[in-house]
Amino acid sequence: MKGLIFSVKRYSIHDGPGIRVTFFLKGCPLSCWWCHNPEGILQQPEEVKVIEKVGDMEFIKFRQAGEYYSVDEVLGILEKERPFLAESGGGVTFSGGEPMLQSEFLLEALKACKGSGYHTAVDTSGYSLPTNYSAIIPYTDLFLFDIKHLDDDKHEKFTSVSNTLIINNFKMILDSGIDVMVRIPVIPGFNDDDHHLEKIKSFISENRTDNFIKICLLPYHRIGSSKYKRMNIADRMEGIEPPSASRMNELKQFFAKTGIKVKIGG
Amino acid sequence: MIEATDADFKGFEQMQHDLIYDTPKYGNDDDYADQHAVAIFEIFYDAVNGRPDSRGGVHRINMLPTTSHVYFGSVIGATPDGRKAFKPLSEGISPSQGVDKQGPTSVIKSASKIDHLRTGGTLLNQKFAPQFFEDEDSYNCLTALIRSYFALDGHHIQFNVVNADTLRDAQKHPELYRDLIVRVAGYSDYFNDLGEDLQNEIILRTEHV
Repeated sequence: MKGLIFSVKRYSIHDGPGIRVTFFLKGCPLSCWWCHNPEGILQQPEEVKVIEKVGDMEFIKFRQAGEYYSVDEVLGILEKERPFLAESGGGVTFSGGEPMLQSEFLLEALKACKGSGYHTAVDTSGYSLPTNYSAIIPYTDLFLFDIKHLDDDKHEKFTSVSNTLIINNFKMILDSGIDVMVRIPVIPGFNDDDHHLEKIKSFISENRTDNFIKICLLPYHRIGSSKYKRMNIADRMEGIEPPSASRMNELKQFFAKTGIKVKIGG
Repeated sequence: MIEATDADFKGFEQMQHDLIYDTPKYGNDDDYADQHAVAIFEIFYDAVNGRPDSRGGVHRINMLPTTSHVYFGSVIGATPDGRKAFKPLSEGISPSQGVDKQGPTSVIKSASKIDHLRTGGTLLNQKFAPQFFEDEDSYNCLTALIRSYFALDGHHIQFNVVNADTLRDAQKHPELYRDLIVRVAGYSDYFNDLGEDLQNEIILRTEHV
């Protein structure tokens, strides 16, 4: 059983508590317009162009995005980072792409990580079968769960999938009692109008439980645009500017009214 | 290799590229590369430690050049790691500029393979962008990073928070700054991997912090 992973990030400090190692699993059933990890969408290895400079000379190289890792290899990486994870109260995060797309590998990896004493987090779009979530819940300490849009039409237009499954899974995970941090990407023109913000706030207030521990507001950024150019993919967000710092602070205060801790960023 | 370094890599750019980008380097928690750092440390230690000095004492070794790595570099020709002639050497036990690609935890793991306890001191320098110091959580992680290093018998670590001028230099000489991680927005990435627009934006933002 091997998992396809396109990036391993050490000293990851924004994907759950403490110092973590984040594994980015390759493959995602969604196609969000603002995706900053386009190399994480396709569920197979692919070539990505990189430019390496030496003085004024440029060397073009094709690097493979996506490599197969066994669970033991995942544990080996964590073992090397153990002093930092232990000292900081950190652990391991599985992100993507959508990690649930490789649910068998994810389950095995989570079991092994828990068995070795690591705090485990799963960063998910919520778009997977409920049975896949039930299977991993006993081995997961924290979910980072995206809420992108509550109107199904808009959700489908901008992410290519319906949100019905996502919202049901969200409620199921909250009911399980596992800690949940909700991540809301703040995308100008998509989900940041007053009407919709009000709707998300009510939704959060209605679903507030003790294990709903944080709201993370993730400002749209243009980091993906250079990747789009490199990968020769059309950038559907052309011309859209990131929200300003003052706007983000305004939203932080707005969501703080739910009584849940709000943070700008991961 | 001797021809290439004698020519300061002129006409050997492909080789220089391969040495810089495709050769395992100390600073990435890679045992293959790190064993050479350890071996050189041992040679230095055996050659110097305990030798009598002119005042009746004995020599001990330190691994801290303060700023003399710049001077030493200015009198040393090109080296087989792809470094051009007369450029600075690495600073103390810090990895060569820009070769550590796996972040600060891997640097600390590599550095701790050297036996600091047999020295009078070591110097490890880490570069961070100011966006890494934005809230209490990031301070706590940095604290844990330092504590971990000492738990591994590390001796000394210091942090440079880069300024806008450094970022401008990184735009011009990306090969010297491959390790530079910046926080963008709810996300961090290698500065080199960002588009020019975004690099400029981060430079502007850094000036205003």
